[in-house]
Amino acid sequence: MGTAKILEDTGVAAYNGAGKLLMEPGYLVIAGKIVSVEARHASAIRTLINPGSADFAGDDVVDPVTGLDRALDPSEILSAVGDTGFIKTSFTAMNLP
Amino acid sequence: MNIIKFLDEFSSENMLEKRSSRRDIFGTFGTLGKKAALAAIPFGLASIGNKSYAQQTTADPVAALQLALTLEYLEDEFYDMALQSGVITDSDVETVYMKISQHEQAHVNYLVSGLTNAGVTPVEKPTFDFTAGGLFDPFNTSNPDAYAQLLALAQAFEDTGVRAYKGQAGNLMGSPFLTAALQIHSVEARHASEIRRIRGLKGWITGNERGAGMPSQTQAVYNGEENIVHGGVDVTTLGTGGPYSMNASTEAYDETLSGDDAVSIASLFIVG
Repeated sequence: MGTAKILEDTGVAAYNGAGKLLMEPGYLVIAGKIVSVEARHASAIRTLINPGSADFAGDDVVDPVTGLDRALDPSEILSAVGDTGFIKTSFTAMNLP
Repeated sequence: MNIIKFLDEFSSENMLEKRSSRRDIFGTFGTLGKKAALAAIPFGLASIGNKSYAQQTTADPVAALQLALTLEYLEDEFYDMALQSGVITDSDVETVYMKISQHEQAHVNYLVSGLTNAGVTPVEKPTFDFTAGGLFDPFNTSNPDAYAQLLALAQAFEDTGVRAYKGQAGNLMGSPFLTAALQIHSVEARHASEIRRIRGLKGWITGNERGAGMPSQTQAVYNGEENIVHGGVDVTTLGTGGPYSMNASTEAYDETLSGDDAVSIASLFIVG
């Protein structure tokens, strides 16, 4: 469950951060169609872990002052994903911020 | 600007004519270069025929943000009134409503200051009628259906918010507000999932089902969610084993809502 939470939250932050790099409206819309489902998953997993709480959109992922979810650049995502140790095949975010 | 005037003008000629001068406010807009972007489109994607893509040709970031602010005003007032009504007696649900209310208030503040800083006058807060002309009575403790209505309306507003932000993303391309709009979009999706699950549904949308207990008047929020073609690809044909089911395919993707459709849904609850 903890792993699912990390994966879903990281997915949301990655899509949010990468949106500005998409120069084709069609791609942006498709990414948008996927990221909101990731966020729905993240919310559900968080509530399964801690029922009856505000964790579905907890302050660790949604800034309580701005009301904004996280948005991370590809390089930050790469390092976060690398830290999980889940990925054994090397890949890069070459030329991405 | 008065809200009704704004809503009337949302897709009008008048708004579109103002577009080019408004674009300048957002600086980077002119550098996008539509032809250059088109040249990079792989085969298949160029034929995307949905409404939000079509809207890109009339991209107006200011109108997109004003629409977003209108929806945030609506949600913010709804949750404030819900929390004050005394209809919510379950403390877990109250915790959820308080967290959502905090976010909607923050979104209103963010959009108001963002528009103001960009030299644009934010649209005025509308006068809302959450009975929708007498259809609902969600804040009345003597209405036995109030609690159910209070949850159903929250679901409708959150699912609308997700679709409406997604529908405006193309209009915000190249503007400094795109990332923030995406960051709000995913928060709306977290809210939607939570409210849906409180109501006993899945956190995500199957086909165009509004879900058990949702009033028929909310169906407009879900029409189009049954789409299975994304970027010219029928996603039910994908999958390494058997093909993906219709239900799974629709659940895995949320859909956009056009500005016009978002306006018509919000207008049910706006009286002035």
